[in-house]
Amino acid sequence: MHYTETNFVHLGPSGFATFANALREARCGKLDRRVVQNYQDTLAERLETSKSRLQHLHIPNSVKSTISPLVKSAESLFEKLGTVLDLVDEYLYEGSGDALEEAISLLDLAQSQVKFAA
Amino acid sequence: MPTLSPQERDSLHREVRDRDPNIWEPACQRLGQLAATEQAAYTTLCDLLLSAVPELRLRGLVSLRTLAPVQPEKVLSFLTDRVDEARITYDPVILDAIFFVFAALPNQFGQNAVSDYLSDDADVVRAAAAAALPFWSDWPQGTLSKVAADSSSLVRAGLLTALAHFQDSDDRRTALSTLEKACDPNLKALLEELREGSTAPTANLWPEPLEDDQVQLLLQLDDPSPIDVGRLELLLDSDPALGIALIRRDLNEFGGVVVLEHLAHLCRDKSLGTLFHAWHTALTAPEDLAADEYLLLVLGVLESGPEEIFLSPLKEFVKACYNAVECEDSKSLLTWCCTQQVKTATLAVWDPSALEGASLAPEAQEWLNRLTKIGADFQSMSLFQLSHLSQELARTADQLTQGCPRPERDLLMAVLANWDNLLEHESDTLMGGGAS
Repeated sequence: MHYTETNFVHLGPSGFATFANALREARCGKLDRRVVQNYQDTLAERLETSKSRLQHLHIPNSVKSTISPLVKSAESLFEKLGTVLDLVDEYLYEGSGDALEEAISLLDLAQSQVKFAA
Repeated sequence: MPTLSPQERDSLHREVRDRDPNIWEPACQRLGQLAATEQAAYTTLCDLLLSAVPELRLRGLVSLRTLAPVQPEKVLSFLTDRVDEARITYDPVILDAIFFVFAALPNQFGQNAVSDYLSDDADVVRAAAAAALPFWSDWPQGTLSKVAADSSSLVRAGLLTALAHFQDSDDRRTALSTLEKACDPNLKALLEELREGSTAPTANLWPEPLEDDQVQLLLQLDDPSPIDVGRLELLLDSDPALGIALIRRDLNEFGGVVVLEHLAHLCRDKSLGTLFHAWHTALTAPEDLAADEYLLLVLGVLESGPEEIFLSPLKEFVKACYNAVECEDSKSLLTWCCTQQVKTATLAVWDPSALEGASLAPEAQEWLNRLTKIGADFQSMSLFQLSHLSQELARTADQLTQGCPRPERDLLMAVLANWDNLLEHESDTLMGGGAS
């Protein structure tokens, strides 16, 4: 999904930041699985794009020692988010409630990591 | 707006008191417009509003309705005083007219005031507030049914006239059922009228929002009419993304900082008001201000605004620019470039609404991304590399003038100018000339 100026008031499925809330709503039956699936597809595409950006990041030698920890932190975050997507897949296709719980916990954990990275 | 000559003032004074509605009505409208900027007109308006003759007080309220969107606080204060008087004198016509003017105030003023008056001690005031409910459509669920349970017949009658203007909803149905169950003989006729569907015509309370080409004309004016700025605000209120796009488009060509200043104060949406305040600051800051101070000034405006997702993209953008000018040497510049790329990749997946949205021109984000890549080619602190980077920056600055809209362009130019100075200083140092 591309965000345009028409998203002024109500942003549609946003990033992973709001995914935990969506999953909580799915847990109590307020959100349809198809909506979660759409959300999931959008996020998977975004994650791939960002991973690719990070892989192609050219870091000059002179700043490698400063930037590497930051890149590692971002990579670790992306790995967690990838796991979240796998868990949500388990929930969507196998109906696993445990997987859903684990995905929510991982997203909460990721929240603090993003704050640190930002 | 031209100053009122003594002859014009006399003529206006006469016309607003004329018996012919074809003369006094337009004169009252004009008086309301002039009162926004012209002290003499405001005094004439106050004379009318305080007149001993009820008919003239009503005409004053007609003028006040035109003034209300432009000077909401002043008008609100006046109206609340009049409501206090009405509790004692009880003139239902004047009271209704006062609430009619509340409706012309921007939402945050008018609707809040009417909401408070729904629980006033005086039933005449509650009744007038109930009758004014249809001027807004976004009352909290349960408002209508709560008013329907009021103990006063007057209030219930006020609500009945209001219900004719509301679309069918659970709240309206509950309210109507409560009124029917009350079996109030005074309301029988009104209830029948409502069932038959005879409704009063809805008043056109607002001036029309500005059209596309009128925005362009307005931004060219050094002294725009407050009424037209009010109409631009209406456009922003009804379609913020379109309004912002039109202003941004014409800002590039015609300037329009005066209008931005007006909008910063007038916008009923605080996020929009903060956006225009930030734009105005970015475009009018003294040219000799250091880049970091300039960016902090703009950031300060944004930080003082509401914590709304709408402002996030511009805030993130200005923060990134500020961090860019904080670089002290080419190495920290490279660090900024790489850090910013990692941050953008992270935000794009975690919270894309912090990167894209109506508060930031999409081109500006692209240019910022481009700046982060300029440094990535810079490998070592040699004179050749520094010179190459300087040339690249100069080329970018040229292209930026054409490719990025204002005011974001001004912010990026501050970054480029700062980097240019930094590289020049470093080249001098390498050549052994400017090490200080």
